[in-house]
Amino acid sequence: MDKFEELTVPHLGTLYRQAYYLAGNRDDAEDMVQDTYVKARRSFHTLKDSAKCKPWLNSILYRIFIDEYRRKKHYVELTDVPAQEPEDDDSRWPEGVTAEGIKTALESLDPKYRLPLVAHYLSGQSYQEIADTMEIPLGTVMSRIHRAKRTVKKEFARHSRPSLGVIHGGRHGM
Amino acid sequence: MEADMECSRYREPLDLVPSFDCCDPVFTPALDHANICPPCRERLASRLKSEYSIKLTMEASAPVPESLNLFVKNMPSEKMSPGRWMVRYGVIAASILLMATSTISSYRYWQSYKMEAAVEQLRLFSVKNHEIRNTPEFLSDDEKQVAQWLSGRLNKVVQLPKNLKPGSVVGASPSALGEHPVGAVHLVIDGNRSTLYTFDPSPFGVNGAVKKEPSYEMGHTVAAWEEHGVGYSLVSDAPVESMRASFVSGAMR
Repeated sequence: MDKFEELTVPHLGTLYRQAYYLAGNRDDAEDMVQDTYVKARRSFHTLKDSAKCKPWLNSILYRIFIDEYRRKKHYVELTDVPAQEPEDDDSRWPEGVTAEGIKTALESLDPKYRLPLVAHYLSGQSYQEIADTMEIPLGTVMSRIHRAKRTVKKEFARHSRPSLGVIHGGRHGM
Repeated sequence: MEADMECSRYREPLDLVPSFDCCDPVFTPALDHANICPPCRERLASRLKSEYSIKLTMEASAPVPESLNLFVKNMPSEKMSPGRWMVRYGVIAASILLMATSTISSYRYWQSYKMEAAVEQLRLFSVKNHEIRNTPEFLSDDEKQVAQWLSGRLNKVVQLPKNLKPGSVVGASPSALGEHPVGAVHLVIDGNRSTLYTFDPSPFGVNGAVKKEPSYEMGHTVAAWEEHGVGYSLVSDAPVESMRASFVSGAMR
């Protein structure tokens, strides 16, 4: 096992899970992680501090995710523009949400909100570390995660009340 | 009404308090509020519980495929497939090596040129001294006595060279080559007046470089050599062949 493997293989699971919830399917997730490792291997000499291997790998994965969406003509806004906040409600977070339910709810999010939320749940990084990795201000990360949480909570609530037959909006615009 | 305003002020920070890891101090005011506000506390606890469950579900639901594991573990290493950066570093390293080699060889050439010039100067000083001073201050044909006398005068141990055949010494005197004091041993080679100068090569910067076979120079025969760190120059009115014959066999080869 060489130095690259020694440092990067322990983060494979974290990277794959993030890729899975970002891409929404296993095949695309696997491709994204493979690309991440190929790029990481190529630029491994630029990693000066081995303690920062995890955020470094995360940043490569996030860049690949953003590029992939751009390539597919999904417009990813990197700077925040004023957008209508989803209405807050006092409803509780549902319990017993399945993985499929989480995936569906995340798919309802625009990538620019999905990315920090997935990173928040799965990367093991603090808000500040996510901001550093994504190279955006801390306040932006927190507001995007807050907005993403509200949307996801509404999606959970919508899917947990199918009998009402009420559709509360769909994909949120920006 | 006032309480509702307080609650809505802390709504967003309380929604952002992570369900894992330690809390950032930025959330302290919101958490302080939750401590004294039962509805906010209950809302926070419920959210943290649900989100923690969501996080665990996410972590458990996407195992790494075996194909990906194999891909990562079987990736060719950089050593096997050198990229552009390796070529670039190779070129830089080669350039540095070339520069270093050329600098070293230039330095060596300059050093050897400098030493050769210094030896040449020593020979000229020796010839001049030989011409100026022709009477010994101390007269003796005993080599040991001559060496002893010079040692006393120069305040350092003086030894006569082993490469020169014994038996022709006539005396000694203190002398100087340039500005450095040296010992001068007067001797006779094939009936011709000769002077042997003994000196420390360090002040002249010629350590290990003093080696000149007998040759004709400015009307005299001159030779220079080094024995065990001590430098010697010999000037004689005798011809080159005679000086050659005064050395022990193979000494000047």
